Amino acid sequence: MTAAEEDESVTSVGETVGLPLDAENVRHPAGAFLQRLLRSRSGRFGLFLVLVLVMLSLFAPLVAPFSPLEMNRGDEFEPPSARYIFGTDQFGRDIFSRVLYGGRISLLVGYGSIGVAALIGVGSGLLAGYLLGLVDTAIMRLWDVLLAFPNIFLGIAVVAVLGPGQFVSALAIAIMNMPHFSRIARAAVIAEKQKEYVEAARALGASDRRIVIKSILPNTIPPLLAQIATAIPRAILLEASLSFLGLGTQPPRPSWGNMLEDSREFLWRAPWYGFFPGLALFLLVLGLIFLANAIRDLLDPTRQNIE
Amino acid sequence: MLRRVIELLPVLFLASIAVFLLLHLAPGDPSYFVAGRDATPEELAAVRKKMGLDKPLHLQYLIWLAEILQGNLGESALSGYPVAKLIQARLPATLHLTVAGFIVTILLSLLAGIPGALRPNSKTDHFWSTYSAVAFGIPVFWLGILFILLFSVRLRWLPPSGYVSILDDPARSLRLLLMPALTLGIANSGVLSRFIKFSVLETLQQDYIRTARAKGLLERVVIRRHALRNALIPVVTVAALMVGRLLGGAVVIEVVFAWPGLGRLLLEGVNNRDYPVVQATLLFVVLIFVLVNLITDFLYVYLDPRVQLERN
Repeated sequence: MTAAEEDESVTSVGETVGLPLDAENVRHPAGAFLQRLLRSRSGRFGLFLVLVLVMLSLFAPLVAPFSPLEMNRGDEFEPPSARYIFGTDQFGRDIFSRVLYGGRISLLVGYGSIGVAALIGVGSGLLAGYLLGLVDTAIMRLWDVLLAFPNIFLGIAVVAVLGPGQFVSALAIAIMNMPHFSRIARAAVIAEKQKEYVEAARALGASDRRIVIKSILPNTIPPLLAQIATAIPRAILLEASLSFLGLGTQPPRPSWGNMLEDSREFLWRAPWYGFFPGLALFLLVLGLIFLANAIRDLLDPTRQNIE
Repeated sequence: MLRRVIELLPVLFLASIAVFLLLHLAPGDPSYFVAGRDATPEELAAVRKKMGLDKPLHLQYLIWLAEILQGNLGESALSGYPVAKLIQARLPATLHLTVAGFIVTILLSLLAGIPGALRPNSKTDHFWSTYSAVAFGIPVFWLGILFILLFSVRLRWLPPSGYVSILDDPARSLRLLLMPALTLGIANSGVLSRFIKFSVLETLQQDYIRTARAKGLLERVVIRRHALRNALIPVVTVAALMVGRLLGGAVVIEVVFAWPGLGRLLLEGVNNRDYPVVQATLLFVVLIFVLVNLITDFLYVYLDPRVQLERN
């Protein structure tokens, strides 16, 4: 695969086609999947960036030279140096340590909210697609309404109701992602329901629940995985945006978004403050996007043929 | 066409219910936010009556909706100003930002999308592909901060914030708009430029392009008159969908560049628990978003006679 082809895939990050794949493509063991992922340059690059940043955040207590809340009197606005490699903020707090801890929030909210969104979205989508009728209409209309709000406004609306905070912003991000998962699952169920193996299962006396969980759900996995992979970097960006707007994670607890908000006041005195938290966020998102592209390429049979 | 318009009504109706319920879903009695925490029970009762909170919920909704349809968006709980006036005052700044941002988005996307499609795998292609990937991943508020660090702090070329209407002082207005519009445009060009590239690539493989070449037309003519024209039709739809992203991006950018627009009005409303302001602004944004989607559909039909809405 050429570099150009790899790059191309970034575009369609927003769109994942909700079509189920053939059964053979679904059941390759995780190891083989990882191996194929590492074969693509985009996959290697993405995985490397993400792993480094995840490790640094995960082991923040071991890596960070200071506590993220520790104020070092007299060391306010220190430029980057051997002691403070990313410099210090207006309270003399070590920006490097705060960036490390801030990454935990980004990752937690990013993965957590998408996890919840996938669970509820898929559940409701399976239900809607299987039962159809009134349940289907009700669920799908709800998603239509949510989709009428551009993302960040939905986040603002949720915060307007429940008040700012890390949990609320995660909840908001989960809510705005549910429609996409739900639609994918619903489309898959409707497509699969017609197929012979479902009829065979029913003829054998399988219950509705069993048919959905055992026969239909596995077929929805590839498009859902692709959707999860593309949704996570966007969730992380959105969390940072909400925190930047003062609606997400609240100070003094560090998040990349609220650090950047904080830095705006001091861009003249401490330009490094506005630089490093954003760099960390950018690298993580970039890594996740590359990873998502590689994953999607692997799951999409038409792209495999091109390879 | 008419059916498409009618289909939108339930969505708008349900969205209005959602926005209406915001006030009532919030923990605590809404009258507290208006009357203040230390209001006496009598004051609270008076406020409740004035706000109509003593009526059943569905009735409250209908009254609220009727008022809104008549253009009465209520009054700010904080300042007592009519919300319609507040929105009117903030709208021009947001319009400046989104229109300028939209223009930059389109120009940058064409610039970044077309060359790669015409010469796949060339150095130009790789350059613009990298550009698109970076533009897609970069957090919009960080990009804004980087611009301020470069152009205001380091080079001292541009003011970091401020807004002047283009009608009052065009030169100064454009100078102030430059960084915010560029930030917004770059961030949005990541997606759009890739879409353009694919659309052009795909069009170039069509039979009618081969026919045009076989006719002996100049390559320049084939590209301009046959390939680009057709390739850009689907781009129109995506470009219009960008408006949602532009509006969202505008909120963040308004904060970065201290821009007095609708986004900041909304945020101030949220921070002050000024629900009439929040409700009206949100409703306004949803309306614009939905209308833009509708216009996009119409444009698509108009530009491409092969598409018919009714069949969908």
